[in-house]
Amino acid sequence: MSSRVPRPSMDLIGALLVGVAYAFSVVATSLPGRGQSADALDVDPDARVVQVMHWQLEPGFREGLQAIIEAYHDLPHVQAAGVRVEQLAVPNRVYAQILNVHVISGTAPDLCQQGTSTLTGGNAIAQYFEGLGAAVSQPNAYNQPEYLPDGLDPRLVDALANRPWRDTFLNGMQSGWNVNLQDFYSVPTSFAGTKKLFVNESLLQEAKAYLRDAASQSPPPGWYARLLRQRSVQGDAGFVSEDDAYAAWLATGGPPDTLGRFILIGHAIQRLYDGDRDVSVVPIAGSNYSYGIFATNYLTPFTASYAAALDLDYNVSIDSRETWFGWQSGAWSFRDPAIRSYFECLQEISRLFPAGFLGLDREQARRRFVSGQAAMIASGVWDAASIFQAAEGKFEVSVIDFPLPGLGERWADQCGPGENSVSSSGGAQFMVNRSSPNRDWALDFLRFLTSYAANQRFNQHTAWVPIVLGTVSNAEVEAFRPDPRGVSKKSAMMFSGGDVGQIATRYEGELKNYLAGDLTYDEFVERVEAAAADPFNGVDRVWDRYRLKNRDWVRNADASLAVQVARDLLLEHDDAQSRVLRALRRSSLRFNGQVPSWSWHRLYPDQPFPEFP
Amino acid sequence: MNRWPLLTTCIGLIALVSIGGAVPHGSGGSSIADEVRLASEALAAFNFDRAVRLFTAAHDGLERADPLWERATLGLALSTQYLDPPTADRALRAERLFRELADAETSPRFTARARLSLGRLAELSDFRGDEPDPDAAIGHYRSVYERWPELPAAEEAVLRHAGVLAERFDDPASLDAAIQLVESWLATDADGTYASLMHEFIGTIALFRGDEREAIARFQRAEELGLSEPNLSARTWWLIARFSESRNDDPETAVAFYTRIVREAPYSGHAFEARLAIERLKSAFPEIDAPTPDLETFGIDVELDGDE
Repeated sequence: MSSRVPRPSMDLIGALLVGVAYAFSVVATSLPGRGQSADALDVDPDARVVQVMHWQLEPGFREGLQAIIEAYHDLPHVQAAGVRVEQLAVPNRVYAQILNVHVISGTAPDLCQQGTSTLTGGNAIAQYFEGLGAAVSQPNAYNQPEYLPDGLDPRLVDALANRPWRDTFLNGMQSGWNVNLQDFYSVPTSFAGTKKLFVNESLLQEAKAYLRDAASQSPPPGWYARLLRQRSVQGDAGFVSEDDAYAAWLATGGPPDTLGRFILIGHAIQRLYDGDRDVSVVPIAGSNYSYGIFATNYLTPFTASYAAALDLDYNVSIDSRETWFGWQSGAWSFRDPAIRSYFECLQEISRLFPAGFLGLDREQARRRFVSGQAAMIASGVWDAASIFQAAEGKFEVSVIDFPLPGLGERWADQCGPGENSVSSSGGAQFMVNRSSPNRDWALDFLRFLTSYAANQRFNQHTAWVPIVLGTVSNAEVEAFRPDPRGVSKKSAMMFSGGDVGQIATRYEGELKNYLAGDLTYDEFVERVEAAAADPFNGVDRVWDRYRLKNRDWVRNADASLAVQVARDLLLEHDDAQSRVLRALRRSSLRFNGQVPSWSWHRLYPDQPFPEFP
Repeated sequence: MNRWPLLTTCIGLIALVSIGGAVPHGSGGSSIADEVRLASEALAAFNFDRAVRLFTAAHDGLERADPLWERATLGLALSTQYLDPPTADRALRAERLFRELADAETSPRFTARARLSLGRLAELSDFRGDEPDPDAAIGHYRSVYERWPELPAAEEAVLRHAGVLAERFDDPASLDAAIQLVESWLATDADGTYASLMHEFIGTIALFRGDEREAIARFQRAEELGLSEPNLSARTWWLIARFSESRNDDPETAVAFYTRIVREAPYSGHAFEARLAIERLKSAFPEIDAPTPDLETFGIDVELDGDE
């Protein structure tokens, strides 16, 4: 006897379709649409609402933005025009879906934060969002002297008032420039991207006192002796050299300024709170979020020295494809001291995380730190306000860089300079909805938000880093200001990424097993290399995909050229001819998508390019 | 047989279609000139679907003698060519429109553009199974630069022709022919609008062939003429400096371009390394007498010092 599984009735599906469509039609025909002008809708033209949608739910951001909105409302000409600005804070998890639906239906907010949605990238940007090239080439009206505080350096006043809007940004608004579309499409409101270590000063001092005590014993306790650098024919052990510099550091209350000392502090915390005390404290509030921060930040110092050998397309930037092409061609190996050291370093740091850290999320890690149950946590400036507020009255928090090996310390010979943070990435970048009936006011508010006075005030509220010339950060986030010292992160290898498909999946999984201590290094390497060498889904497949991708890029470049030709011949825009030239550059220097074949030919002149059906 | 599911689904679909009717139409009652303008704006905004709809309406109502016809035809052809996904039908329709425009010879700029596009359609595989025809492409490109050498399109045509030859990267003779073609053009028009890009083109080929000396020389020439993509200047400077240094035969050039990175491209991410390189080179070549520039510190003083 066969049992029948109940299936949804087609009647019901049809009826639901009718209902949904009818409801949508009624709403679409009866409510004011964003694609229609106020005049056409017969509503009060003075009652304009400019909506700003973002996903920054961190404490401080909404309050900071609201403070600027209220200041904007107080401006006489804004009041006279009856303009109101409203913010829509949407959780990150659903931001892309909400934005996509509303952008396509023409009901998107006037200002939308860029990111997460595919419609805020690629050519779609130009379809749905306003090109800002002309606007950012003009001075920002809200940087005129009457809007600036008294006592500013006259040179600063002159620069703010007279430079084009884009040049009043510390990064030249580079993060808003879209090289493919040849225009500015978004305006950053902060600097972003820098990650640091937050340190619980109370626990740090406890750990240092404990280390001082251990160092003063003769002979020192075994756990401490094992952390001291010892080299022998059997191999390296320990992390720090017990030299004068170490002694000087130990004598002070200063934070860990080298990687060895950082690991030493971690072990001291572990010894201090190893179960003999009531409180559970770990050295680092690790989680499935933060292990990646360490993995990313240590990539540059350990792997950037390979950049010149890996840069097959000469774009001065290493991606995941080039990383694995280099593995295949022998440009690097998992047995290289620098590569092995990188992974060993990550594993040593992971040992300072709580047990089962891969099952913990970002918020659980943050709570552990602010409740005083972790000595350190890695995060970005976006968590600064919540961490400082939550720790207030309980313990002091300091912010430090990810430390690098000091002279004589373990890995010092395999590690180069750290990563700089001058990348032009901006934070909370906003785009102007093309179909907004309030485009001018949306742009006006954006000018206000990124004027000297408002941008400083906004970022002081949010405890983020302001991005406008001459602005000053809150003291506690000063450490997050861009630091030019260090190597470009574009020089670092990338073991993972969507471009390397199955290799990335396997790498990510096995890396977690290795960091959790479930695999030895050799086992980890064996598994990852097996994935990379796989004849069907390994590096050969990546080459094939790379060539397909290049053909897509050529078509996209040609489409951009067609657009610039239209701007030149059909719309007769003044800047079109120079943009035609730039678009042609993108197209012609790709050699019709042959760069991968060319690169392969240079590496393996006698072997056919890998082809897959 | 129960017909209700089919019926209700059909009604649902009809209702869904009616949603389209609820969306306001903005172009009703407008002139053809307005339609062409709106269509051009849609194309300029990468909205190829809308551009095709609007251009089609305009194009169908225009006689060839109408001054708007060449605009509508070019716009419709360009929009059709880049509709996604690319299909044989779309490529053929675009080709027919470009050919129509090229044959009509309404004005040199539009005719040249149509021929360039015909060349591109012949050169690339636009859809699955589309066989490139490089000889036909070269014919179109040659017709542009031979007939209208004074137009910017002629320089583009030279680069496209050379690109067809350079695609055969494993054939040194073909690569040489590509370079020779561009060189010949530069010999007669050394300062043309596209001259800088032409030097970059030759320099990039040299890089892929492993001729770093030639690459450096070409990139330097492009730099002197003004790089075609100023936003990527630091990348070119870095390549010039790095190869000048690694070849160990031109430390002065290396220092000069590392210095430009530190001073003029502080946000490129390479300023710190460039500064280290300057120090390294000055140490290795004491005869180099050049100051080591300070790193940009994102402070107001440094920013404003540049204005003084």
